[in-house]
Amino acid sequence: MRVWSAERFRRASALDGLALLAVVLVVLVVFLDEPHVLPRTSDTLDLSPWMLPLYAAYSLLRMLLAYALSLGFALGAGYWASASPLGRRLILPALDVLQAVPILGFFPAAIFFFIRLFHGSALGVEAAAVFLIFTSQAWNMAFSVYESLTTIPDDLRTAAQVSGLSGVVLWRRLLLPACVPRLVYNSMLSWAGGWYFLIASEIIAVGRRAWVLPGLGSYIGESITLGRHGLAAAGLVSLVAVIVLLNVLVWSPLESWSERFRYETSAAGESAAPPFVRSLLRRAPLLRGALARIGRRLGGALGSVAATLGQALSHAWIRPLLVLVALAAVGALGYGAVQAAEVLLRPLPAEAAQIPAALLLSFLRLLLAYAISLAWTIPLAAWVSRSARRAGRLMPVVQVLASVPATAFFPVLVAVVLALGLDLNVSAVALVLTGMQWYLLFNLVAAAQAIPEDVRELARATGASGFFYLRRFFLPAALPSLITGSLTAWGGGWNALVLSESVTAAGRTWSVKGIGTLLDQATYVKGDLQMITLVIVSMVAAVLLLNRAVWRPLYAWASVRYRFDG
Amino acid sequence: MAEPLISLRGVGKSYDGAEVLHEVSFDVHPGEILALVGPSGCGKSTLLRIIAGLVPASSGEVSSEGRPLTGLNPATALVFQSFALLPWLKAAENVALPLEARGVPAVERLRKAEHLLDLMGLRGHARAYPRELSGGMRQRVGVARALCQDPRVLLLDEPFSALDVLTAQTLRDQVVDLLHDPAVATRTAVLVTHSVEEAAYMADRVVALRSNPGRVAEVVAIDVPRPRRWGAPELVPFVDRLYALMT
Repeated sequence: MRVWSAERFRRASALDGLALLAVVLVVLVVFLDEPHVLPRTSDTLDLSPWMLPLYAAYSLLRMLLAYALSLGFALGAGYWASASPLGRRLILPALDVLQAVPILGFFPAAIFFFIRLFHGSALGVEAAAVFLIFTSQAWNMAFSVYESLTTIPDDLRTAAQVSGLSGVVLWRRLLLPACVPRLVYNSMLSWAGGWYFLIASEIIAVGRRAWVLPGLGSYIGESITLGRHGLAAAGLVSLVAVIVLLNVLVWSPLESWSERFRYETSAAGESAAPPFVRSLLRRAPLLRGALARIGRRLGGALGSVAATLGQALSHAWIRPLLVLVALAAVGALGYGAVQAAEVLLRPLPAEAAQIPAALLLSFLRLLLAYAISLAWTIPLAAWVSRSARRAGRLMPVVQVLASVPATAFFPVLVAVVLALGLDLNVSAVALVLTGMQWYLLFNLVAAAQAIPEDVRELARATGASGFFYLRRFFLPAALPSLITGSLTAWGGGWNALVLSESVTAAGRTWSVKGIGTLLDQATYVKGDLQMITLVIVSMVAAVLLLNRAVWRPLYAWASVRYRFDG
Repeated sequence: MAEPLISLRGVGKSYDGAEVLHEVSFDVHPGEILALVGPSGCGKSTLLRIIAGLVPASSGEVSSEGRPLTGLNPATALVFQSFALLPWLKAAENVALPLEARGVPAVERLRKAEHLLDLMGLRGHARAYPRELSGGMRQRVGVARALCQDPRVLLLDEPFSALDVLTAQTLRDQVVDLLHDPAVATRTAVLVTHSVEEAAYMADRVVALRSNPGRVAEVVAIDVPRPRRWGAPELVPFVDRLYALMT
């Protein structure tokens, strides 16, 4: 649930193309020259329900590691982009592209890379999973740090300057607190997105019998594969329990705590924390005190780490080091370029001819899933928009539903489709749907809540209802949000596509024609580097093309034409 | 007369070729309240920031305590029109911020902060967050933070403009009293304001500025004994004189 702003749309530049090229080259470097096929032998997973807490702990550990990495990256990259023109020019376009590409497509590449790095040890798969989660979390967090730091009011900066603030104190007292509201909000979104990719990576690792990543995702996937539905249900329940518990115990209190770091004193944006958490905290002063103490320690530690980093970057001796790193990066890219040339100069494989048709078929599946998403989210959001109270009642339910990663239901959905003897296209579209619909719903409901009270009263007074209300009131008001929601929904859809077209269950692989299947075969059946590259490049190109040709112009038009502040 | 605390000689400032200040010269003497008054766009806030060392002058010389000014001016502390309090820190923590920056231990700096808040009439509000305070109380915290640096010169940038009439009046008196209070080391202030009445009421001397580019029209000494009364007849000639100079 990334939130897009008009500002972000405007930051596109020619550097996007360069960044894209860099990504492709890195993939090529990873694959090098020989063909690879992931081995299909593995240890089996112990499916005893007593192991569930352990698996939950494994999954959580991966999430925590990835989140810590993302936080570090976000603070570093965000600060660099805010403090130096060079950083801004490099980081912002790169983040823009990285946010748009279907991350799951790169997972096989990541596995190869990290397995090489760890000399064939299973730690490589672990690292690949953490990396995958990191790539799903870091970009919007970095954006939020950048936006927070560049919107600190001038007077506050001056006040900090004349008070002599610098180093650790500056970070602890001004820079970090200024980042808190946006960073906490984006962390919640990233954390939810992270679950999606964690479960996906665990399921991929198990489904292909490559390596086992013990965790809740692999537990669910494995029990479905073996047809033990009771165990799968137990796994799902544990997953939901972990997610809901974390939301209640960590994210909600964090969100209400972050309110104090806003500049405006207006009470308009009352905290979204469920009241019972706050009253719980109020009634438990010891717990609250402990939380506050932990928060202070953490803030202090983060501050000194960030300040040390900042100071290190300003030292003279770091410059040559940075130049060395940059040279190494350029060298790697150059090596990648040579490899790329060599690969692309080979005669095209016969399968390459299938790419356009596969891309079109996949696109049609996405389009169908998109239409289904719109068909139920628009009427629901329009209903919510008629009264402010409805949203308040609906949102907590939707939040719990949406916080459960759709990937956890993939094995279940597939099992159902196979059991009913339905066409596998049904499950493919259904899986894509789970990756798309929430983005639309959240954006539309947010728009519904943002409709000014007087407009709402006007609609009531004119007796507007049904289609007339949709056409004259709700849709125009919700259009900018609908477009940003669509853009993120399509991003989620492309990701889900990679998992949805080719599924392994009960020892067999079913697949439908599409770009996801092509990638799957190229990775796991043939190990064809050229084909993998071609598929990833054409998919990324299609995504970027859609964004540039459809969503950005639409957004630019709608955000000017349909606005309430006039 | 004693050595001036701050001295400006032929100070000019240009932004991208546009001249904002032209050949500005005046002194700030110890123990006086000097007001800079002028229409908007005359560069009075820029002048204050040059004195604070936040903005370098494009030409001319600025000296503080007899030495040419380079970088931040350690003899000054700034009070903002917008208060500029960190919303995530309690009142006392905001006041103690300059001491924290210097590495003063927590106990010591908070004791001093609470003492200053007491002086400003904010006893019992040390643990309140800025958003829980009224505008007047917030500006008192802002003044306390500035005093916490023990500046020789207090720089006030339209400090009463964001307050309602009654609160502003109370706070004006409080600031004048503070500068004569034996409990406070600071004796000197430079006040930037667009209100001629405020300048005449508070200042010992007023630098009247004209705009396009900002330059000194005249320095007017307000030799009316304290305590003064707002709108008193003996202030009227000075107010009229200042209005005439600015237009």
